[in-house]
Amino acid sequence: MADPYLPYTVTIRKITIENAAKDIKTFELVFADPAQRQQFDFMPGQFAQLSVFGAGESPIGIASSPLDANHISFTVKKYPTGVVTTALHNCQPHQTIGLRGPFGNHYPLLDMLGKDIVIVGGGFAVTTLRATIRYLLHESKRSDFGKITFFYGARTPGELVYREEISTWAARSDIEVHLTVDHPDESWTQHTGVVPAVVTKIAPASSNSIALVCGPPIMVKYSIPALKDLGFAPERIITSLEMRMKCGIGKCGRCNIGSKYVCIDGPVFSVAELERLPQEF
Amino acid sequence: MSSIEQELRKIAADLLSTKKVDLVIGYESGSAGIGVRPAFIRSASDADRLVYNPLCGHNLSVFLNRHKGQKVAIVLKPCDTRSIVGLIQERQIDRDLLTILAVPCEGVVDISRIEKIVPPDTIRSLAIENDELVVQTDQGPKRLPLKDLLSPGCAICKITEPVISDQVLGQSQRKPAEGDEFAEVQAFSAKSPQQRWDDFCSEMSKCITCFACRNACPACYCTTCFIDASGPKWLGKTDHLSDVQVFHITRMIHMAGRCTGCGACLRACPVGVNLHKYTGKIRSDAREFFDFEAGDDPDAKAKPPLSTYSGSDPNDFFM
Amino acid sequence: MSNEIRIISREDLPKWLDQMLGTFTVVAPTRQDDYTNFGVITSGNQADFDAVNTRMSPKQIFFPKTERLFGFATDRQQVKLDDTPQQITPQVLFGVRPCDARSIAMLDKVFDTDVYRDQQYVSRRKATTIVSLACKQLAPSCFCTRLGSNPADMAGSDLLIIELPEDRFAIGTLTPKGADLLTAADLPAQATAQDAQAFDKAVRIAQDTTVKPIDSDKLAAKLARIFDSAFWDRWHDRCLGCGTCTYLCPTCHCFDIADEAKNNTGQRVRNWDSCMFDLFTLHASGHNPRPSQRQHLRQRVMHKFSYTVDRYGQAFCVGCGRCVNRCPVNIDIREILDELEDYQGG
Repeated sequence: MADPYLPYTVTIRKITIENAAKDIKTFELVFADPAQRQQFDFMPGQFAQLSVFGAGESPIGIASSPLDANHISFTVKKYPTGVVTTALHNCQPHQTIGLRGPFGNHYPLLDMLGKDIVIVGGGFAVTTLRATIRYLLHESKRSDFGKITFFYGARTPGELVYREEISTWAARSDIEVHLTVDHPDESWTQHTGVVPAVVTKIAPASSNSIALVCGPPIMVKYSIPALKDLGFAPERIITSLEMRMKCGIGKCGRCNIGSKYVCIDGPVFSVAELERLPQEF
Repeated sequence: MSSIEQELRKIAADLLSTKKVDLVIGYESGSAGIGVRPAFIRSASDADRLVYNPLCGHNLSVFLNRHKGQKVAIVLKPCDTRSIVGLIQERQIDRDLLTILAVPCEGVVDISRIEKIVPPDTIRSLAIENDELVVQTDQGPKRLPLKDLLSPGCAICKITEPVISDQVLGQSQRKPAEGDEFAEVQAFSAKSPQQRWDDFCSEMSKCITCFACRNACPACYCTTCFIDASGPKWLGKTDHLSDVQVFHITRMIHMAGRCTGCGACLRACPVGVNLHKYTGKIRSDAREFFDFEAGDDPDAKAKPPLSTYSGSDPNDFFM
Repeated sequence: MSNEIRIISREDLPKWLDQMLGTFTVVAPTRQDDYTNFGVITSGNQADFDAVNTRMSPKQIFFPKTERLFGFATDRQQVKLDDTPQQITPQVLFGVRPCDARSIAMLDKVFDTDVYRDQQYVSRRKATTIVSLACKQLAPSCFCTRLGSNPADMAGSDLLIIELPEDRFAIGTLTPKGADLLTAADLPAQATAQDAQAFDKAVRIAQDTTVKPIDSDKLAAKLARIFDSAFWDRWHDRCLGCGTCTYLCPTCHCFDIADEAKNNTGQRVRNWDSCMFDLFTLHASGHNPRPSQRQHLRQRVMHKFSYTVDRYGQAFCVGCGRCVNRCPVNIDIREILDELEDYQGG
């Protein structure tokens, strides 16, 4: 049995600044030993522990698709008191960092087969949804799923991440993209207002449909009733939680909600499951 | 029941029933084998839970910052009122919302002294009878004179009156202790640097960094303690002696002009780390260098040395 | 295997320890200032056989307060990791009280599972023979019997020593590891049939208790039901939020992972952590799902008496009484248990 605390060593191939405030960056990583990419077998929705040696580890959702064969990417927001996120932001390309995982469960891709998919994201928490969309849109997968509708919002246009990639999605006919911002600038031509309001306005069909929601707590809180009003059952609304986590393997004791550990029983939960858990997250 | 207890219960019930306060913080009997514990009384009908006796060691002022904005009455011994003075001077307490019920103190019992005489595994209950502590054990009761059980700070305490109060209950019989308050500090200072270091290392090696000392200390009111800060992260939380020492040294330096010597840290420590001589050194230094004794001057405008700066501040203790 | 009984006199106990010292590191309760703690002994006379409970639990022998996970050295863009395991030598943990031995069996369920084997913990466990010493009587803060255990509980022990009249001790063999230790010793005498009966009788007496144990399944279900109830309003007011209860607890096992580095080299370590601390659940964003003492205390009780029952089939409390004795503000878990059993609110 491998030592669960020992990270893979990975090299930063590329760093992309994702937002106007420059506190969100995407790190494209390659394994020092390419065979380890095969061992690192994951599905969209899972997370990993990134480490900068000397600073520590931080749990981050995987932002690339498992079908991105050569690399794996993570989008990280820097917090003033976040030791690891700050250290990551100070990293340069070609630097070696640590990667441990994959951890947790993933979005219910089996349940999603043959269904229409509604994806609701907000701010930089859109990372694992981006991994999911990349997966769904892959030429080998796209026909397995029905219609895809993607809602994505942020406070300002500058805070929307993956702008270039999203514009290539918007140009496609097999995904419907709705972007919205709270505070538009002069050049903004798309929706204005909070994400749940746009979901209500566009009203995607709920029959044979499943919704994935990930964003700031306040967005998730108001998106759930909006989706329920459209006829989505709580079992069909799927969300992903964030928690302070250290071990990633259900031992260190801090990420529990009731008797569930977010790091192994989550981070993906249906709203039906969350409604059965203590409201302590 | 002592007359102080009777008076206390009546005052607490009145304050609560007339809604002059929302909460009374005092003492109640503890569970079996443990003398007393902090009590939080919110209705007049619960006021008769309040007790007051020489087992009431806790410095209750530590709880005040959790009740900001509420009208609180608090039971304080004379030395505990000195903590309140510091908290007012450092703007941690709204004096107008606070009702201080000052109780007299003849010295409080140091539980660890009882445990030196009676094995803790055998103590079934503690009770005060006149000037004796009655310890119920498996082998029957043991009567111990209270004067032999006093906390280290009490034996040398010169504080017989509250420095600040709203209602004074009872009357102190005690006279200020004679002798030098800082005798332990002087004895410690007289040792060679190597001896002091060895002593410090040996004391610190007991510490399990549970932070009971910090959390029981009324002067440790920082919302985020330096050891918990992450931007930047100042030091680790390993069991290495250096981490433990740096935590205590830094905390103690922060205590200069704040520590009143109340002994809350000593009482809270689960492994008997004797912080008293080190905090005593900090207090004696604050007195020597800045002519400041925490809690002495009830003037709200008085400034502890760490809250003020003067060009004439002595600085010879800087290396 | 408890039918293999040997007898040893009180005065021979230290001699037996001296014999072990040739082959094993021996860890036993030793007097340290005002209390006893587990420590490595260099002579059998240093062991204290009379204190009911050591101040710190024996968990730190297997799950130390700080544990190196691996070392690292960074050189420009290269990183070298070193996870060479620490050398672990055979040891005997002697004079453990049955409640503490039982707690080690609980920690095994966390650190030694089919999907996760904590290398250092498991190596230490494998290298350690646990010799327990049954309690002659319960200390006032003891409540093992409330947890369905007793002062001669055999869980987690390799050998169990029970005191018989006339300063004699009966040693019961519980595991092959225990049998090996006993075989290697040339002191303990073969027990007579009478001695074997005396051992069994002592065990029966220890088990015979008038205390009604908690029904852990029922309690776990009730706790889950009353999570949002007013039950939790009245315990936390006096809680200081220190780590005394969790650090002294033999079953609490939550930890933090941190890097300790100087210049380009360092190590990743695992440190004990506590659900009583604000920092325990604080997100980098500033959000804290359990921000108050009320929630911290509820988490501790829920974890011990509900979540572990769900996950490991057992309440993670052995009733050693350390938290009861040393909580600076007398938060007494026994009172919480009593009131929980009576609580009717929802």
